[in-house]
Amino acid sequence: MSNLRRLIAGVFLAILISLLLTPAGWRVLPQGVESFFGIGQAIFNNYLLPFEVLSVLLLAALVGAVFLAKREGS
Amino acid sequence: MAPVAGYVAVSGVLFAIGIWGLLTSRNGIKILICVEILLNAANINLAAFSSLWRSQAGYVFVLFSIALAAAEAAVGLSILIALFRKVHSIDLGKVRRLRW
Repeated sequence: MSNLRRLIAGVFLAILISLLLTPAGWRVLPQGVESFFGIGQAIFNNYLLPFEVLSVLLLAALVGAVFLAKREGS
Repeated sequence: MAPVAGYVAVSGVLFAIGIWGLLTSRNGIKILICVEILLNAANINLAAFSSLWRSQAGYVFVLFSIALAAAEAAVGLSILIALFRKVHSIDLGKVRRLRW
């Protein structure tokens, strides 16, 4: 069973390495709407309010996690 | 239309794995990992269709969803820590306080 799992993992690793080492088929960095520049512009222009709400939510989650994981009595 | 099919297939497989793990496991950490797998399946779908329709809303929503997943993981792990202090186990089948 363990040897079989190792064999399967080895086969997948070999496929992964062979795919990584062949240079053909890589997509180039996209331009226009789906570039990182466009996404950043969209976040800080159209979606600024959800971004700020999300920051408040992350802060609340941080405080809640600390409160829940705190040792009782101290 | 064609290149989206692969992404949707991967997303569906991930979603099935997440649902299966969520329904069959009692371990708290395993359930948290399965919820993360479900969220990532949804993220792959959003990014694929956003790329198909040349829209930025999907990418932005993926970023927000990753932040939500981070918050959920933090709160879930701290709930598990508190639970382990109470019942000395992370087996969710053994938690009987809020059930009848």
